[in-house]
Amino acid sequence: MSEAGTNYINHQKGLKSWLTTVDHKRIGLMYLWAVIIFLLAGGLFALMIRFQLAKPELDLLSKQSYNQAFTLHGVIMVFLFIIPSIPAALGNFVLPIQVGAKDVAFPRMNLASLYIYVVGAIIALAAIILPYLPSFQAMGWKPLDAGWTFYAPYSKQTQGPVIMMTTAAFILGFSSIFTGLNFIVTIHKLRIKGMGWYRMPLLLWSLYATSVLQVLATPVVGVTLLLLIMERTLDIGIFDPALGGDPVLFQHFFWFYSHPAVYIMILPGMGVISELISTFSKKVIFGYNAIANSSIAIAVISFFVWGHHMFLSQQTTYSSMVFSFLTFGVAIPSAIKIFNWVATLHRGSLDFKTPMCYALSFLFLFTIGGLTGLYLGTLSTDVMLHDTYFVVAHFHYVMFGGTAIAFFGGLHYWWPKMYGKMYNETVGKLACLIIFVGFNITFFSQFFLGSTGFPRRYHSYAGDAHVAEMWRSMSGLSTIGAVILGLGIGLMLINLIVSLKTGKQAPRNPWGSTTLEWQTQSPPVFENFDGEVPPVEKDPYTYS
Amino acid sequence: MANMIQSLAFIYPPDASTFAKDTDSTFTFITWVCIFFFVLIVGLMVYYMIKYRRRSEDEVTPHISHNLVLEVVWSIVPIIIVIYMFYVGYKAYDRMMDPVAIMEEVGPDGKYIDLYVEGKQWYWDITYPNGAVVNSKKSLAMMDNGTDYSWRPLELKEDVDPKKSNIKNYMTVPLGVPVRLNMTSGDVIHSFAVPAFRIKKDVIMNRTAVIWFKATKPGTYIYTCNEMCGLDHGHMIGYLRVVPVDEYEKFLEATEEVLPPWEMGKELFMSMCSACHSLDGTELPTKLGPTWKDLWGSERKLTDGTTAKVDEEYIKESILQPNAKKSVGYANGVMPAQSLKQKQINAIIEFMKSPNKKPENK
Repeated sequence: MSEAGTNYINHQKGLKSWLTTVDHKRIGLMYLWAVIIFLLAGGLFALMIRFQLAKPELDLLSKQSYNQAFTLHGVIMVFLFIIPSIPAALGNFVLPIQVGAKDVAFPRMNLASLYIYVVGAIIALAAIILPYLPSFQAMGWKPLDAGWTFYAPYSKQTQGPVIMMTTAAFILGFSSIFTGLNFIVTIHKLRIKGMGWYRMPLLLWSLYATSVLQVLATPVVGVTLLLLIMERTLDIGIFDPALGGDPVLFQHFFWFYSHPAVYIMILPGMGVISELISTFSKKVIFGYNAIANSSIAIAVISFFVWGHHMFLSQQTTYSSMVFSFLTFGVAIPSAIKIFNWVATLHRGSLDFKTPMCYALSFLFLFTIGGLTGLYLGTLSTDVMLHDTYFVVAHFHYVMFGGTAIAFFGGLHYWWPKMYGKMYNETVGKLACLIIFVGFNITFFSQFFLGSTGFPRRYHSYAGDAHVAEMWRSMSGLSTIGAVILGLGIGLMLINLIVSLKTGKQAPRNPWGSTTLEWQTQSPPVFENFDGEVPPVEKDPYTYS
Repeated sequence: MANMIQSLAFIYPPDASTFAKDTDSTFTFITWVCIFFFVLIVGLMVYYMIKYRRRSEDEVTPHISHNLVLEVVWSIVPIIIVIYMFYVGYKAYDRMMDPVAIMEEVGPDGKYIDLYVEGKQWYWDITYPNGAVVNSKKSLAMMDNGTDYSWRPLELKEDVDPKKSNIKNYMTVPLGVPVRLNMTSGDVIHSFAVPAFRIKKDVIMNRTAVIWFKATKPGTYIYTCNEMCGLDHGHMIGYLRVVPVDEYEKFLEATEEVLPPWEMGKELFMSMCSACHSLDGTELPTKLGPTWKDLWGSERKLTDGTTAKVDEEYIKESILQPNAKKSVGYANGVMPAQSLKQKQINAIIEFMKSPNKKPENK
């Protein structure tokens, strides 16, 4: 038994003890604050975009600044926030405790992954900030404006720091590979006695599937970005049609990673939701095997659907047909998961604590996100909607309404375990409600913008006839929603931060959960458990 | 189905092509599927939230781990629905992307029109068979009272005044005649989209993207670039007019008057002839037809053993009925018949007389 009152946060003190720690919980916390900072930075760019489009024919941002704003919003949110949010922040903290281990399999590699992330993030920040400094402008630097997808040949032509930003993304990729490798080995080798594969909490299944995707897919984007760097510096002619290259090849390479990356983003969220719904329904999850297996099915199928981003890229009709068909194949396991979660609520004992409010928001929003994907998987309607605001609305419902909401839910769920403090429930629920309302106002309006043909990445629009009348109102509404959403996120973070000072001491298991992380004290001791961990004898989520 | 489409009309752009109805009915079908599943899922969720809210801390829940029948049903039913969705979407897309499918839409006269579209940073050039070029940026300029950054609706309500000088830069297409767009890019990737026609396709340098449509409703619409292409991507748009066939003919004639004969001949040569005929002496196998260098006034050996002098009559016949007389060494049926007007033929002759140097003004 450890000394009373000591835990992983206070057993060593000083900045050095944090910077050199190999404790997965401390690394998880450092990741957590890093991704929250980038969430705020990405959100700031989002607000800039929305303000520019609040009314017709505005010129708050110049064309160039607008193009930079949506590029930086995308790059920051994808590479620095969503991808690391649940796996690297929450996953790092929870996964080893959930398997009953003292740490991940390779603690030093885990720390290395954090450092790589920081290096990548610093390079990305430099690529964002340097072009605004006069001395760099004098050297002909211009801010990045190629969009987060870096489509060639525009990414070759633009004068923004494409090389720097792709280098950052390349480096960040290694951080994600390191985390993925660590999780795979930890889940294979360090599970406590008695925890067979089908006795793992569902979060572990989803993190496992995510890790496999990270390890297999990330190298491809790394290679692609390297080729793009070579193209820009050496004029090799891989992607540039003027040199005999093939710009569609870039898209194939890019989406071969970036489509699985969509599932790298959403699968961990699905895992968190499984935990929350079961816990706060005090009921065994319905269809454990179906949920676990559908995570793996999604991971496998997601490698074969990248071409649905390219239905209009002049790929052959035959390829489009195959990709469309497989895309519907990936819709089914996602639908199955939703049905299972709803069925879990049936005859449960539902406790609407803050994390549960987020989980129910997730069900609502992710259902919309998933269903609107049907329009885009269907070939003829995709022709109509491709590269319009409909797509923007769809993937925000999946990425924000899905992953980010699950992240917020998980954050509130494990917060008492992380810091040993309870936050204010009322404020927590209020923030969740504001986020839910703000999000829907922001993005549901964009479906109508998109279905009437408003293209993505447009700097401005005119507002003087009947369809444009709809654009004026919907675009304005979307901006109002974005402000509400921003306030909600602010309130949520303030509530959490205030709890560090004034929150009540959290008990070991404030939610009555069944998984292992709730059997140790809050916050846990240095190596997670005080004393021997008893072998697992029951399935997870055994409440009765 | 028509009523169902109508019920959602406010979410669609104007429907002005034969594809619009098809795409909208698929869209409407998917929308009802979405509404059904959304109401089912969220309805049940809300119902359970009320019915099974926790009333006391020591409530005990039943252990329901799975239900095979239920799980099979909710896997199979969506599979059937999405297979149908896949099928109707694919069928329409296949037709839209197939350059030959346009033949199914031609009238008894067999007429269809090929237009050539080129996207450049940041405008579209649309070239007509007679060599006329309309420019998207110029179609906006006058309407915008000097400012070039604003763009207007999908469908203009007010009658467009045909006297306005920018109207000749509207992309003008005839009502009820299929139009095939042969599209390319002069630089980065763009994407040509006409929301009112429900068509869109990326254009790439050194490649030709083909898409087609048949307009069904007169009016003025917009076309846009939908692939991020740099600084002015947000303003790479233009106006498009759908007009009755006779008005379309007038539009073509009006564009012809723009150029003096030699220049018009050159435009026609560049857009219609230069793929197979050279100006510098290059012939088979690189170029499929005879060079125009020193062609005018020369004697051609014909396959029937006679010779013919290249004069007005010979050129006119070669354009309108290319297989009537054939030079030795050139196969029948390679050159398609071109339906040009006398004025255009005269222009081509003017150009052929001195293809590499503009004649001095007398």
